[in-house]
Amino acid sequence: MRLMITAGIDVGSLSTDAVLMRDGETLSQIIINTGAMARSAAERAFGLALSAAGLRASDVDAVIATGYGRMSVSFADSQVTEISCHGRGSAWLSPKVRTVIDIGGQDSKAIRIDGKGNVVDFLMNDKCAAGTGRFLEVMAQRLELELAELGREDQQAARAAQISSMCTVFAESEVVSLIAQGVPRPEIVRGLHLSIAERTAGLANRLGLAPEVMMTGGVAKNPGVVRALSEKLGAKIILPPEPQIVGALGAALIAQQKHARQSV
Amino acid sequence: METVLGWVCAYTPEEVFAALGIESFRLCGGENQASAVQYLPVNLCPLARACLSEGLDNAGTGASLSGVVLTASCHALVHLANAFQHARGGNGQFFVHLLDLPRTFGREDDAACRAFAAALRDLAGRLGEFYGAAWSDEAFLTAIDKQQQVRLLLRELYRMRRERPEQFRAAGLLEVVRAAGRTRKEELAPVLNSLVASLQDAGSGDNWDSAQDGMQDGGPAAAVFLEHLRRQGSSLGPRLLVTGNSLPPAYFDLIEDLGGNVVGDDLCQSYRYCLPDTEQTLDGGGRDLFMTLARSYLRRPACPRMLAGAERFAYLQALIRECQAQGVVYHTLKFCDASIYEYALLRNRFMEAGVPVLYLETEYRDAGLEQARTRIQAFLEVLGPPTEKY
Ligand SMILES: Nc1ncnc2c1ncn2[C@@H]1O[C@H](COP(=O)(O)OP(=O)(O)OP(=O)(O)O)[C@@H](O)[C@H]1O
Ligand SMILES: [Mg+2]
Repeated sequence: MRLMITAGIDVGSLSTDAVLMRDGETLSQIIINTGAMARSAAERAFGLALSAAGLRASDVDAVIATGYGRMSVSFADSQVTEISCHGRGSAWLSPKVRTVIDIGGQDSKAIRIDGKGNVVDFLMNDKCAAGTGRFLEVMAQRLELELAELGREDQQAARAAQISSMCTVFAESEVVSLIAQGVPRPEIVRGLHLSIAERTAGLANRLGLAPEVMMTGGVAKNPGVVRALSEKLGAKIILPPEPQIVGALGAALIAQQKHARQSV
Repeated sequence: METVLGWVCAYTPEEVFAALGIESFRLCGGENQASAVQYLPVNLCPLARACLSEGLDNAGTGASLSGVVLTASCHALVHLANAFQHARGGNGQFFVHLLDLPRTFGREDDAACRAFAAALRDLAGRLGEFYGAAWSDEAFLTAIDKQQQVRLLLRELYRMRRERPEQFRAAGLLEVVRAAGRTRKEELAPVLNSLVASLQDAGSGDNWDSAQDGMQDGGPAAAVFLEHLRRQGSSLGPRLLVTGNSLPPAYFDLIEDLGGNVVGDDLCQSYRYCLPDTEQTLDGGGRDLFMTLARSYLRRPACPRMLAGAERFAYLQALIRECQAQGVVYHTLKFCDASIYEYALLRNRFMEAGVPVLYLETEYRDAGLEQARTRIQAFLEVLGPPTEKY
C-alpha cells in the first residue's frame, strides 16, 4: 500500500507557508511572502514545496488550507481555521503542550489544547495591530532594522525604554520622540518587545495559562519577544524548530487524519 | 408621504401606539452609519449610530419619520434621543420622547411596575396630544390582544426552529421578527397564523411548497414574510444559542453558512421581542391596562443592560436546556459597557457549567464579517465531535 501524502497550506497576512507530509514525516516546507494575491501565493508555495520534495500535484492525496486567506485556495480539499491547525501542529511537535501562543502578522491568539491537540478554548486579538508582528514591522522600519536583527539589538540593551501606548500609531510617535531624545536604539527595541509581551501575557492569562507553553508564528523567531513574554508569564516557553510553519504543519496533519478516515 | 413613529428597544410598548392608531416602525439600523457622524461620537454604541442614520435618512421606512420613542435603557439610547431632538426636534414638528425604564433585575417589583405604568400613561397622553389622536380603552385592549397573538405565533416559529431546524434558517426568522416591528399587528396576526399552520402541516423538506400553497390569499405582507423563511436551514452542526447584543442577520447567516445551527437566542430584535405575556394578567381583573402592560414588560427576562448576573445566568441556562444548545455565542457591540461587563460576569459561570462560549464583538456592520469568520469557524471546530471535526 502506498503511504498517504498530504499538504497543509497556511495563507497568513504576511507569510504563506506550505508543508508536505508522508505518514508523519515532513517531506518539505516552504515559507514565502503572501504579497497582494493570496491565491497565487498559495499556488506558488505549493509548487515550491512539491519541487523541493520531487513530487507532482497528482501525488498528493489531500490538501488542507488554513490562515486568513484559506478561502481563496481553490485547489484545497477543505479549509480549517489556523486555530485548530496551530493546536494540532504544536501537539505533534511536543505532546505535553497545553497552551499555544501564536503571534502572526495581523493577529495574536492564545489556544488551549488537550493531549491530542484538539482545541478546548481560545482567545484572539484581531482588532488592531497592537501586540502583533505588524507592530514590530512598523517599528523596525522606523528604527532602520531588519526583523531578524531585533533580537540581537534587544540583547545589547541595559534596560528597557518606556513605551506606554498600546496603539501602533501612537507608539510609533513615542518611538520617534525617544529617538529624538537620544535614547539608545537597543533600549527602544527592548521597550517595544516588553509592550508586546505585556499585551500577549494579558491575553494568555485571560485564557488561563496551562503548562507547557509553546509559542508559534513568525514573532516566535524574535528572541527578544520570547524572553520578555517568558518573564511576564513566569513560565518556560517551548519553541518549535521553525515557528512559522506550525499552522501549515497542523493542516497537513489534519489532512492525514481526515483522509485516512475517508478512505476507510 | 406617510409618516411613522420610530422606536428601537424591545421594552417599547407598541400597544400604546396601536391604541392611538399611530403607525410605528422599528428602527434596526442598517449598514450605513454615516449620517450619525455629525451628531454622535464614533466611540458610542454602533447600534445607536446605525439607528440614528436610518431614522435621519428615512431609510427602509418607505415613509418619513414623524417622531421617535426611545427608552432610557442604556446611556447610548439616551444619547440617541438627544441626537434626534437636536437634529429634528427644533421646530416642535418632530416627536421625541424618552421613556423611563425601571431596572428590575428581571424580578417582580411592584414599585417598578407602578412607575413604569405611570410612564406609559404619560407617554399615551403626550402622543395623543401631538398626533391629535383620541384615547380609547377598547382600542387599547384590542391592541394588547393583537400584540399578544403575534408574540405567541412568533414563539411558535422559534419552537419550530428548535425542533425542526431544517425548515427555515435562523437568519430568516430574525428577519421576520424585525419585520414584525414594522407591520400592523392586525394585518400580521392572520398572516403569521396561516404561515405557522402551513409550516406545521408541512413535512420537513417540502415546507416551502405547502406553505406557499397555504398562503395564496395572504396578500403582499404574507409574501414578504414567507420570503424570509424561504431558505431551508440545516439540522446538522453544533446547536448554538446567541445572546448579548443584537446581531445583524448577515452574522446569523455566516454562522449557518459555516455549519452552525442557531437554535435559540435571547436578543432584543429577536426572541426577547416575543416574550412578554399579557394574556394571563388580562384575566386578572383590576383592568388597569397600563399596569397590566407595565407588569408584562417588566416581568420578562432581563436584558444585559439590567446587569442581573445571577438571574440572567439562570435564565440563559434554562434556555440552553430548552434549545439543547451545545455552545453559546456572546455578542457585544463595540463600546457597549453593559454587555462587556455582563460577558465578564457570565463567562466563568458558563465555563464552570461546561458550556463553551464564543466571544464575538462587532461594530454592527457587515464589514466585520471576515474577521468574525475565523472566530466562528474555530468555535465550530471546537464544538464538533472529534470524529467529524475536520
Ligand atoms: N526572522 C524573523 N525575525 C523576527 N521576527 C520575524 C521574522 N520573520 C517574521 N517575523 C515576525 O513574524 C511576523 C509574521 O508572522 P507569520 O508569518 O506567522 O504571520 P502570518 O501567519 O502571515 O499572519 P497572521 O497569522 O496574522 O495572518 C512578522 O510580522 C514579523 O514581526
Ligand atoms: Mg498565521
